[in-house]
Amino acid sequence: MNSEETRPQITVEDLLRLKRAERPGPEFWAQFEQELRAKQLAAIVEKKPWWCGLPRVYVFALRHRLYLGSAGAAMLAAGVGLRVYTAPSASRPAPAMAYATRSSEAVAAAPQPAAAPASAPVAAQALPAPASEPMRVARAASRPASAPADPSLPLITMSEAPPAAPAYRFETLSRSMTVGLAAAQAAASQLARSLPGEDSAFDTRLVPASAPVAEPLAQMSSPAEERRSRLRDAEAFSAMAGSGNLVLPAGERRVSRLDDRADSDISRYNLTTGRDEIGVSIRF
Amino acid sequence: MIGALKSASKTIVASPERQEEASGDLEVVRLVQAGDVAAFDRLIVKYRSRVHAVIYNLTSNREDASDLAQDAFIKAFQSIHRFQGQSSFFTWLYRIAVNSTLSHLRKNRLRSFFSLEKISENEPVAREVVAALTDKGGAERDAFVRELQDKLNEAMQKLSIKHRTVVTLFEIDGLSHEEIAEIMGCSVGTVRSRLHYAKRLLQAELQPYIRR
Repeated sequence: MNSEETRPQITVEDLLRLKRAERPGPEFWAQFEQELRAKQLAAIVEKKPWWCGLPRVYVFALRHRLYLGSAGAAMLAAGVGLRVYTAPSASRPAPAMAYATRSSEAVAAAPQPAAAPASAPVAAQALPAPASEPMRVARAASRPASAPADPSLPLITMSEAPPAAPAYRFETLSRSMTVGLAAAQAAASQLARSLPGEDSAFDTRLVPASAPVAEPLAQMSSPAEERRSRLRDAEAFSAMAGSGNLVLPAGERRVSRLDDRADSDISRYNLTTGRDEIGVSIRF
Repeated sequence: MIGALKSASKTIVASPERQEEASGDLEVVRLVQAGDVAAFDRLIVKYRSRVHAVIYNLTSNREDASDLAQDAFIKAFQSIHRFQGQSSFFTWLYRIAVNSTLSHLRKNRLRSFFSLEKISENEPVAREVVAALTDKGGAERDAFVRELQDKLNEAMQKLSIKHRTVVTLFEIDGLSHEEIAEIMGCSVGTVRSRLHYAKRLLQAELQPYIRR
């Protein structure tokens, strides 16, 4: 029988068990204990850092202050975002959306609310329709027929009802923006009124959507008109120059002086051209 | 012969022994917490060789192992007032030692060299394994053992830190999967999977010494 066949199996586990025999001698442990004792004594008498006296919450906060700062900023941002998207109460007027859907005539003909207080800012008075109106009109197709729609508003039909969440978000956002805008306008108008000597005619107000739109072609002048105006300017200039009343700016005066010098220089050179020769005479 | 080795290794994992050990340790820990600093020496003497062995097998460097083992005991001593007995002291101490070693290995990933203890053939385990591998004697046997030790440590160092830790704790120190999972802060399944993968790699590395 071969001796190789009689040998027992050797596995990885058996080889790893060899490492259990890698042990230090007894002299090592004497030194180990000595060193450990010294370190232990040093640890006992070692002055602890000041934060060891603090509760663990403070220590955690100090150690992770960067993360806590980031988390605080994130929470603040989330809070601001939540504030923006928070729906105001239904009774609050949010009239700015009316401009988005109404035609200019409708805005001009919009009735002023009788219940509006006299001290209310002009911006708020000019926009009496509640915020829900434009959206109500916009969703008229999906609403029952019994819901009354404002006839002054153009009907925006939608083939399908919009999804609930985005519409709500849009409505909420527009409401909050409108409320913010109205409040800012009111504050600005109050500030303008409180200024001494301030004319109430300069009161800030929203520019209505019915403001006349300037036609670009109408603003252009015709070429004949331009030519005529140029001639008129030239005549006026020559008349002023003749009377000696013309006072040119310094730059123009310098340019005219240079022009005069050039004219005199040119007059000193007399250029004559014949059939076969070119003559130049110079006067000194 | 090798079967006897396996049975010997499994006695280390006996759970009642561990429980008895844990309750005894807890009493000593309570004494230390009450102010009896000298009682901590008993814990040091009891666990120093095992803690050192774990760290040594992770680092393959006896100087580093000595320093890290001392640091682990100092850390345990400094924070023993926080030990509440939710786990056994031995698991807690191992966790400190393993975490210190892992952070040391991560810091010095590029600077690693062997400084190995001599394999003591007085240990029955080593004698039997070496006898099974070679029938040479004298200087040739010593050279063979040294070469095998180098190969073994090289193969261990080729494993990732986590795989090396699992192999060390399971195969060399004889801890159970549950204890390793508690020490390493992972699931038992993760421990099993890491162990399986590490053994496959070691098998490939140590192929010349494996006999089926």
